[in-house]
Amino acid sequence: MTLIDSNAWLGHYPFRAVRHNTPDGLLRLMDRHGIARAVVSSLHSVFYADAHSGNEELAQWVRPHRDRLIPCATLNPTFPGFERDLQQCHEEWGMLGLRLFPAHHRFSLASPQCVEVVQAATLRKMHVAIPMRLEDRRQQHWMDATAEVRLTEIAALSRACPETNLLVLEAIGVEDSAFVQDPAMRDARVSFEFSRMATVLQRTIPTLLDRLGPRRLAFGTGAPLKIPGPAVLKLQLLDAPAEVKAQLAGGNMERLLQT
Amino acid sequence: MKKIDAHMHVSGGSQRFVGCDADSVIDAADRLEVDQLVCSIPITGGRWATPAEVRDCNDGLLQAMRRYPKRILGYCFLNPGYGREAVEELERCVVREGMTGVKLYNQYKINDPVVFPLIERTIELGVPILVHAARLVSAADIASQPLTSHAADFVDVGRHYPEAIIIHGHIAGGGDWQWTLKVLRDAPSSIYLDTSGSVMDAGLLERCVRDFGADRLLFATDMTMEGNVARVRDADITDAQRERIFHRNFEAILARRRAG
Repeated sequence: MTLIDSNAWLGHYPFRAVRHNTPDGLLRLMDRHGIARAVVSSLHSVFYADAHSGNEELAQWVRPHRDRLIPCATLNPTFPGFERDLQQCHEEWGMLGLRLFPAHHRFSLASPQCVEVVQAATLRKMHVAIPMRLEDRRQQHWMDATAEVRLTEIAALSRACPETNLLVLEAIGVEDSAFVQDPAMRDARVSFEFSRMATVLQRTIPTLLDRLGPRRLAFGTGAPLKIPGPAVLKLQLLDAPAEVKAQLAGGNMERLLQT
Repeated sequence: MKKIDAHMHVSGGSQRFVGCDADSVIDAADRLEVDQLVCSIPITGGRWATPAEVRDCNDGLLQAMRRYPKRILGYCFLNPGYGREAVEELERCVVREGMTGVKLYNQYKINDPVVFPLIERTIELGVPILVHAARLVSAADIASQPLTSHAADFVDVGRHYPEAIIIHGHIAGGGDWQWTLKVLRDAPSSIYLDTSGSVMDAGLLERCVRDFGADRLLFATDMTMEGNVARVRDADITDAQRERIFHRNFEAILARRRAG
C-alpha cells in the first residue's frame, strides 16, 4: 500500500514553531511513517501579500526531491496577474494542483475572481484543494481572524465548476453536508482528506466510505503542522478490503495528480 | 505497552456521546490496545446540572462499569454548587460504588471556594479530580462558558491544596496550549495534566514533557482515540517517559487511594 500525503506543507508558520518544515526534515518525517510521496505547498504563500513569491521558493525547495515531493501552487485570485502566475506554476515548475485560502486571502469562493482562477486551473487539468482550516478555532492567535471554510461554500463552488476536481483538506462534517445528503451532489467531483475524521467511535471514515464510495476519500496528514501518525493509524484500523485501502492511501490522490 | 486512558467518556443516562456506547468504546480500546479507560458522563457546554441529572449521569456510568468491570473505571460527575448533595453523591459513587475519582466540568472554576469541600474529601480518600479546562480565546466562547477553569486557576488551587490530585483536562483540546504550558511551569506537584483533545499539533507532546515534565503527564483521549494513541506512541521522548505517560503515572495515582 503506497501512502501519498495529500496534505503536507513546507516553510514557516507565523503562530508557533514548527519542526520538520524543510524538504529534508519533511522527508525524514515521511520516512518514519512510511509515506512515499507528499503533495506540498508553501505556508509562506498563505501569508505573503504576493502568494506567488512562495510558489517560487517552493519550486526551488522541491527541485532536488521531485520524486517524492509534489509541488502544489497557491494563488490569491484577488491579486493581480494570476493567469501568468498560474501558467508559470504549471508549465515552468510542474505544479499539478492549486490550493486556495479564501479565509486568509479574504475572498469568497463564489466570487467571479475565484471561479475564474478555478476554471483556469481546470483547463490545465490541475486539481483545486481547499483546506477548511489551518488552525483550530479554539486556539487561534490574536492576529488570526480566519473562520473555517464551510462545506456549503465548497458545494456551491462545485456546482459552479462541475468539471473541476476539488479536494477538501482538513475536511470534517461531510456526513451531514450536501455531498452526502443531496442526491444531486453525490457524484460531484469532490474528494475529502480524512485526517480530522475517525475510524473508531464516531466512525466517520467508514460511514463516508459506505455513502460516497472509495474514490472520494484521500489520505493526508497536515504534516509538519500536525503529527502524521493519527492519519496513518486511522487507515491501518479501517476494516476494508486491501484494494479499497490502497485507493484511500494513495490511489485517489494519484488519480487527481494524473488528471 | 500498557495504556490507561485517564480522560474518556461513555454514553449513559440521558447523555449521548456520538459512537460512545460502552460496547463501541471497548471495541475501540481493543483495537488500539488500551487496557483501561477512566470514564465520566458530565453535563457539558456551560449548562447547569441538577442533583437528579447528576445522579442520572453517574447511574449511567455505573451501568457501563458493571458491564466492563475490569476495563471501564469511573469518575463521579458532581456539581459543587449543591454542597451537601454533592458530597453525598461523592460518597455514594466513590466510597460505596468504587469509582476512581471525581469529574468536574465548568459549573464552577476549580479554585472557587464552593469546590473546596469536595477537594478536601478527595484528599482524605486519596483520589483524583479530573477537571474540564481551557484557555479560551474567542469572546463568544468566554461569554458562553465563563466558569471554565484555566491553567492559572489550577496553579492557584494547587498551591492551596498541595496534597490533592487535580488533573487539568485535555491540553490538546483546551484552547491556547502554548499559554497553558507557560503557566503550568509553575504548577505545584498536586497538579497533573492529561494529553487528550482533538488538536494534533506537531510538537505539542514534546513541549509538555519539556515544560511540564513526564512525571505528572497522563495519557488520555477524550474520545479522540486514534490521534491520542499515536500522539504518545510517536513522540520524540524516551521509552521510560512514554511508559510513565501511558500507564505508570496513573497507576501511581490509583495506589494513593485510602479506605473511605
